[in-house]
Amino acid sequence: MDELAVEVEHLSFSYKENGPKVLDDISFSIKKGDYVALIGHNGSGKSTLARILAGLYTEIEPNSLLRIFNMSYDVENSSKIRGLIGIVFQNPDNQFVGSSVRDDIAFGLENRAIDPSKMDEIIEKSAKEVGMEEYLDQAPENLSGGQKQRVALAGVLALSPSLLLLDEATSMLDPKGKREILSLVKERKKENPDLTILSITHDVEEAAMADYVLVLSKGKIILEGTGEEVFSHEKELEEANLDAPFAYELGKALKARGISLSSSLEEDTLLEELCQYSSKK
Amino acid sequence: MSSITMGRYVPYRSPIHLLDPRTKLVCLVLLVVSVFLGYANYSTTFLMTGLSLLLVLVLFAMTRMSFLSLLKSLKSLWFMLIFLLLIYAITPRSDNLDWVAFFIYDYPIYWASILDALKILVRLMLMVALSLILTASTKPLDLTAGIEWYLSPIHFLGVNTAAWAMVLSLALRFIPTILEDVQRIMKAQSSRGVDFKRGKLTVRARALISLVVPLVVSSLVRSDELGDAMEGRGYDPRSKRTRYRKLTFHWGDLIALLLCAAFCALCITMSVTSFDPFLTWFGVTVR
Repeated sequence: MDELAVEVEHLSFSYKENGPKVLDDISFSIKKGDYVALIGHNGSGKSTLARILAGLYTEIEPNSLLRIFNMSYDVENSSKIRGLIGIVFQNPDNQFVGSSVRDDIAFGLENRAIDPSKMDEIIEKSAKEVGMEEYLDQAPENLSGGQKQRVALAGVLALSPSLLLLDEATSMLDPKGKREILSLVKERKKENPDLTILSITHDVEEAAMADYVLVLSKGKIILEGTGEEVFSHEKELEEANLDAPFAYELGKALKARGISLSSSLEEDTLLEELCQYSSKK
Repeated sequence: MSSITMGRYVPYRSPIHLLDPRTKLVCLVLLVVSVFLGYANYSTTFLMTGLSLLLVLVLFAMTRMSFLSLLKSLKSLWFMLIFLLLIYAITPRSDNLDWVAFFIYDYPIYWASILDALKILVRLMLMVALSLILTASTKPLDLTAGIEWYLSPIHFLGVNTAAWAMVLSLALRFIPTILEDVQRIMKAQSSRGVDFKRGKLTVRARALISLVVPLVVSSLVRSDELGDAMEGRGYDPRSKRTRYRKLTFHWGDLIALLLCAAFCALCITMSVTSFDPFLTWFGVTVR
């Protein structure tokens, strides 16, 4: 059996006692090294779930089971688990703690009580990983949203997490910034196959990149499976206010016209196949 | 808006930038004390203020900030001048400098009042310039680290100085972000017909509410998310953290401290002994 990174069983959560359940009896698991996307419309409870996984909200209902790398959030483990998780949030400004790129990456290292003489090396390495090495001494107000988000990613990667949570990390960025962040995440994943990624998003194109997709609607997981499996359930997706990715829709429309391609979810792959198809013809 | 952001850190590598923030804080106190000392008579005051002005200008030039920005930030002090003039004009005078400059409805305005008001104003300007030199040459984080170092004695009284220093540095970090918010909200409200610049005071005050309420709300949202982000990256105010930036005391700091202390000592001596250089050295009595 594969090692599990995240194990959630019968998880329920509400902000107020006896209030409406934001998460209602959720069960899923994520294998170590997987790239999983969790999609859902606004208000589906996906950000709440991210915060629970990151250990920011601890008042989950009794009977709920939450284990991360085979540890549950209790007094002795919680700091250990937090050390394994890195989370990138939505708003680039609200997670920039330091007054310069260098100081912001250092912030997480300081919290982990890492020896200051080793910090410079780590800071420069992680800044290089996200292509921000030339901006190390820049203040946040001189950076674009995409650049700030790359710094946020660097700040998290500097702590070498085992589980990377992306909580709508690209939703406030322009298309270019979004592509940059996603390709950086892919690159990291390629270099470190053991890294487990849970990307929480309402963007189906982003979800199409993942190995496995969970669909959250009104606090419940309504669909799960590989991207192709999930996006074939049109009715359920529509109920959850989600569309299938463009490439999938196009592939389907082409199939209806008798042009059969390997129903890929990524635009690049589809484009390549289309080119091959037309050159064959 | 730009005048508020004036004291912001300007990244250069000047000798002043390289000083330890703790040194700079003490030097600031020493120099502000020197600037605000009183002297025996107007001529000595003039001489010493001139010396201080020269010193501040040299220091300012050393940080390589633009003088234009200094003038801009001093611009807002003009209402101080009016206020001071008013105070000195209505205060009865008993000193010997009783030349009347002009009359307002038979009420005499003495040259001394004007000179005193100007004296205070120049000192205020020097103080503002000195503070600007400090904030422009010191990273907010270094500054808070310096302040934290001075506050560290009260750590033993159970006060979490590191947490307070973090609060301070976050406040400084978010000034530009919140100013951006102000501008964005102002634009948004203007496009909805709110006029912030014209109208009676009551109308403008009401317009201001439409700025302040969303600003407070967005700041609260920001601080909530910031708290999550900090906690997510392992921040715990009660646990032990290491420091990326170490404060180090160099030879240059010692020299700077000695120079500032010497200047302060000179000013204090002149002030306490009522030394009059014009009378002592030249035998001239100047008032």
